[in-house]
Amino acid sequence: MEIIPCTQATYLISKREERALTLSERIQLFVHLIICEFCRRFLEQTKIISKEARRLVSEESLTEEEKRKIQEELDAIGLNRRNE
Amino acid sequence: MSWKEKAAPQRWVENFSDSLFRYAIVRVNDRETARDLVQDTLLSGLQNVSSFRGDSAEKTWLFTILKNKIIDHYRRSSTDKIVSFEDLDESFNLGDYFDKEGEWNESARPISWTGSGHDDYGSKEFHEILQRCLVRLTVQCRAVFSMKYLEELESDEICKRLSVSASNYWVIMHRAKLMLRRCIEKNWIES
Repeated sequence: MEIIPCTQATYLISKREERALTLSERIQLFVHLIICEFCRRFLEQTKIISKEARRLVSEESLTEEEKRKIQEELDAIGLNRRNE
Repeated sequence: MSWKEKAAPQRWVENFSDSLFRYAIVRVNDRETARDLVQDTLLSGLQNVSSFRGDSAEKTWLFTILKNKIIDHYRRSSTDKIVSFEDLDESFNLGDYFDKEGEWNESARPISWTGSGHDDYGSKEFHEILQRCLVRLTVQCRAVFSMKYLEELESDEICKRLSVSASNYWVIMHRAKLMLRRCIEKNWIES
């Protein structure tokens, strides 16, 4: 069997994360990973990236001024609705 | 309906605006856009308040509205700059990563992240770098990556909502991961 190049292997690695590989792709990737430490690292590291992306959080807040403006917009709609 | 939760829009800003804002800013990475999304969410919540059935918590209901607005935002910002997702972004060059035979260029080879005191991926520092690298992705890559890993949509749903073919979806996702991984390595390990 022909060994796939790293371009193809990394492409399959990102498909693999979504469980979208066919049986023959799984075999091709498996064989490639045995011999290629760079692609093994790519696999491990992109796994970390996807996992941490889901956990991103922010500590920023709206300022009181921004909240007041949003409240004004809401009030305007509320008034219109009551007047309808 | 009396035993169910009733919407209390007069307290939305006070109770939910900060958590909606934090959720949005991570995903759109721009303070002004995030604030506008929160405002749009609350306004559309108010306009549709009669459809709030109290089956879910008010907060969950508002977050559902926000999530849809964020996905619309991705779709809009990505189609603003390109005709369609069938036109892959030409600024990306696979030759930056691989040689003609498809093997890693020496300068692009992934280096080991372990054993260098750099394995605290849950840390604030790592998350900040990830966030900065996400912003630097091309619009196409950012939309696809964010919808998959931040909004956690299935790939066929993403293809549908962005009108992108399955094969282009995989090409874009591959590019996103190549770019992100390298950007993080540069800032996390090499710096």
